[in-house]
Amino acid sequence: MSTPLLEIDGLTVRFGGPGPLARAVRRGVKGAPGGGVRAVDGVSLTVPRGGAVGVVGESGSGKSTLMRAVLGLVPPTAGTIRLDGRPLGPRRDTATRRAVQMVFQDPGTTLNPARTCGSILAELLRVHRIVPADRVAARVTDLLDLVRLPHGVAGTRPHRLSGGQKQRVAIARALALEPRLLIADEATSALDVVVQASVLDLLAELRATTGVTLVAVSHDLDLVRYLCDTAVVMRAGKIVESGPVAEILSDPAEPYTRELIAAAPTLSAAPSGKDRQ
Amino acid sequence: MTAVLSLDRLGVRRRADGAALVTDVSLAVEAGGTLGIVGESGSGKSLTLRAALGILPPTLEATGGIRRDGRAAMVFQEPATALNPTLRVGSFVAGTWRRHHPGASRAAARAATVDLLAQVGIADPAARTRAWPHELSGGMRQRVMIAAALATDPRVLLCDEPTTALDVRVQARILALLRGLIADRGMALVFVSHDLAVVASVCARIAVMRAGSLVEEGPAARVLTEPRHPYTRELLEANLARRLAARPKESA
Repeated sequence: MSTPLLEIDGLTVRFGGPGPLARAVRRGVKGAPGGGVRAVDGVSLTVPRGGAVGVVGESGSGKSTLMRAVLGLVPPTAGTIRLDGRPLGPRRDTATRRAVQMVFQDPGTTLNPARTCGSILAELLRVHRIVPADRVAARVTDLLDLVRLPHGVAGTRPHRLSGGQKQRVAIARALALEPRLLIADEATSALDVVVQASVLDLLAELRATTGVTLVAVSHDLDLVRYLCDTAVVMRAGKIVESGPVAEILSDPAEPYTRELIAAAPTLSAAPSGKDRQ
Repeated sequence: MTAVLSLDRLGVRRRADGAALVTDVSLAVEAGGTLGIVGESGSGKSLTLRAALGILPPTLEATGGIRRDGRAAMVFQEPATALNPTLRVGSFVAGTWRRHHPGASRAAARAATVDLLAQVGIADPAARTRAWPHELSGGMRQRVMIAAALATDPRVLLCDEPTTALDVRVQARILALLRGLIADRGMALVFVSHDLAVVASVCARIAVMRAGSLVEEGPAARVLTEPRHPYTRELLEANLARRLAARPKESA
């Protein structure tokens, strides 16, 4: 068996509370209070190469913090993150940073409003030396093709694009670096349903054509079922349930998961024959 | 039966250049009736609701007929910005109640407030009247907003994406609360959302809007099973649960 692409082992992220020095001093003291909030609390998670894993949970469950730790945006308090068997520390070289890319929730705030979409993509290609300088423009066009955007978008600033188009630019930006791991953190929750469906189809298709490994973070169980093979359910910083998506949804072991499933509104719940007008 | 709210060829246009944002929307909801308005961002569903209540921004004006029979109250999407951060939630609800019950004593307002907070499912309502908005969770704040809306004894409750900012479990509880309140009070409901499944879970009739116009309106069961307009079909086809159900079995 090959090593999984991503291995997270006992990861804890604590916000607030005593700093590293105070913790070192207290380590010898039995029962010394840790303080702060454990946003992620001893999480272990394995993502197989080429797989698609869903991370489900409500606001405050720690799912985004977990992903930000994987990306290197927040330092873990304890635990390890390994990519391809190599530990991912808080300081990473360019090649390591390139390997993990994220698509954020709101493309309106994550694309530089002062630059054209083409220059946003071109800068990445140059900094990371993805293609020779004379091939940059052609590669930008290829990326726009990949996310099904017209080539004219290259000369456009983000504010002129619709929400769905902006999110496609954000996906192109993540894919420009040919990452090993693509994290989609509520990547479609700011979009209208019809646009959401088209962006999800795009992600599923990119998974098939580029072989990228996907982690999809969402509060929407149907979305996770749509995109992923396996899923974990997070609550209060801990993973409370994990397994194949179909199994979790058809036979949830945890009461919390059952509650999440029951709470999701479905079209079949429509009141029928109760038309009062 | 008479309608508690009826819109007759309602239009909304920008005063500056006369641009039409909503065109020819005719809708009615009767006492105890529930109407959902579905559409994507920019479809004009929120403007329609605001025009119905007469709270359009000053740069816009409504045309056509708006008839309200009795009071209407509105619950907004984001309770964090709709509540006054400098008022304890009890004062906020009591102030609203007193404005609609002139001459009533402070003690009566206090009692009514505790009763309203209890009606919207807030535990220990007497103690909660002392809470500041920032001390409450999103779901609690939305319950306070609903209590303030009920303080006006509305015949029709207008809801503009009231659960979009909430987690799915909290959303389910707020939707259950709204269903209960409507049944108990015989109040009418107009519920605006981009989410067809959410609307379908509280409304007996569904109207679909796109680009400022009404494209379809009918009983929820009919709209969901036999959509007449291509856009309604598109909305239904975008529903993930429906797509999953249509998927071949082996992919599960």
